[in-house]
Amino acid sequence: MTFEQFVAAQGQPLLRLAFVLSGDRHLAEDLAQTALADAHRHWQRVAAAQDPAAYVRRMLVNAHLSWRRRRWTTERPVERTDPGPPVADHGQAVVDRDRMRILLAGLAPRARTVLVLRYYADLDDAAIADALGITASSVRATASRALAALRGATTPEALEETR
Amino acid sequence: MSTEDTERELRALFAADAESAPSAAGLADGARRRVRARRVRAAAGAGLLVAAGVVGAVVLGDAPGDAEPGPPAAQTPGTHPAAGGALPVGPDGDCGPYLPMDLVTWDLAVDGTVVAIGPQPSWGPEEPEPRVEVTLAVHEWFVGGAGETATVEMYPPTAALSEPPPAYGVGSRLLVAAVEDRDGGLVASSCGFTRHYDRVTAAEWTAAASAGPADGPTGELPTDSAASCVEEYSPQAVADRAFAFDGTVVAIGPPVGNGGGAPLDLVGVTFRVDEWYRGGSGETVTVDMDPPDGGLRTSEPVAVYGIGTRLLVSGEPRWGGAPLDAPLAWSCGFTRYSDPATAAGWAAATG
Repeated sequence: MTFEQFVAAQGQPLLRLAFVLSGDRHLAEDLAQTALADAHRHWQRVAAAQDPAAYVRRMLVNAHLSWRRRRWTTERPVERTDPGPPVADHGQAVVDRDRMRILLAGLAPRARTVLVLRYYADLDDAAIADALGITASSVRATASRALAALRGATTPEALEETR
Repeated sequence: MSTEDTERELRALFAADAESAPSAAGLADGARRRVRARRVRAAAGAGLLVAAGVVGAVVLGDAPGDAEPGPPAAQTPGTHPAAGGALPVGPDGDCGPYLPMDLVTWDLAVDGTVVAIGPQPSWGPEEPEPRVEVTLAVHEWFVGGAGETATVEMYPPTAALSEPPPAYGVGSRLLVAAVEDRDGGLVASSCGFTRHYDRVTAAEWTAAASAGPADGPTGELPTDSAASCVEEYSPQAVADRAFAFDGTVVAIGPPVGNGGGAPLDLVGVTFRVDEWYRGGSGETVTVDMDPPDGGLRTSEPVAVYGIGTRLLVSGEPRWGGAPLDAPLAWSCGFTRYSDPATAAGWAAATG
């Protein structure tokens, strides 16, 4: 498999993951290109990996978390420019999603990443643990706390109290 | 709202967001542009050795005589034999931390003396950055090869300078790590991995190469980013600390040094000492440190160390006196995860 073949097959899924993680088109492109540039640089190792896609996904997740940690203390992203596709009850759906986005934005970067990997990328706890470099039990605990925080908080103010 | 409802809502939200992701067209080209840009930065990093070479002994506090110069007879007039210890980075700072344990991720790493600098090749309009082929007479292979010489692509010695002397020349002894390019060339990299020879760093690289990839955390302990540092970490700077050791955490309790002044948010951490470098000799020692969460203010618990964590620790007596009077482990890199390469560097610096 060449680098070009890999990007052709995995570029869009990586970019989607980057976008769901970051919520920003430019940042998502930046993240995906960074991960792919790292992969290009070490292509022999990536191509030799048992699961090259998982290898590069881990690069992307690590880059995302590294960037997020730098901004974590000052930033609370609550806006997303893309409204998503239209649905039947558009008004209520938009309200619900905005509320959920605000709640997600209040979570710690790693907790939010765990949720994205579990409920978007459909990774099991072992794969999430591998991607994040933590244990599977830590993944379960982080996800459990994050879900509890989302369930128990109906407003950003309420979520803030759970910190 | 039940857990199932929340999970369902998250799946729907993430799936909808993914549909709005930008197109991946041009992603491969973007990645290649970044690789090319990194080559420029890597080469420029080698160029930055000029400044480091000129002022390194003053700024970085390298001990005279610590570095071993290349053969004087072969030295090009105006070149710097070896200031050592420089950590050149790319102009935009797009480097992770320099960790000797990462040496094994490079395709080549050598200790060598420059014996030839070739003409600048033409790379065509796609890659206009200047590079030259530098041939090194190898004293030691750390990673990736054998033989008496190695040839790598580096930034020309004088290209980033407005005036001489050049960064390096024939006769300069360098520690060089390089990555194999897609066309098979070996491009010397910066971010700490292309530098003038010094004994401590060579010891770190030797240990890193023999230890293989790190299987645990490496580098300094994470701390509150607002913390200020009074001195920049280097293995050489560890030699100036009152105490330094390699040990494993066996207990965490109340601080031992809060009696003489304003109390700090510290804990007393007891170590089983594997090796003393400075200031002590006992089998165990208790020093005050930042708490296990590192002072990090995050919404989820983070333990940067705990019982069983092996650390390299150095610091000073908090109120002065003997090295282990109310000992305070310094942060800012002076207390860090233990790995064979860094431990070898501390041993070489303090030995």
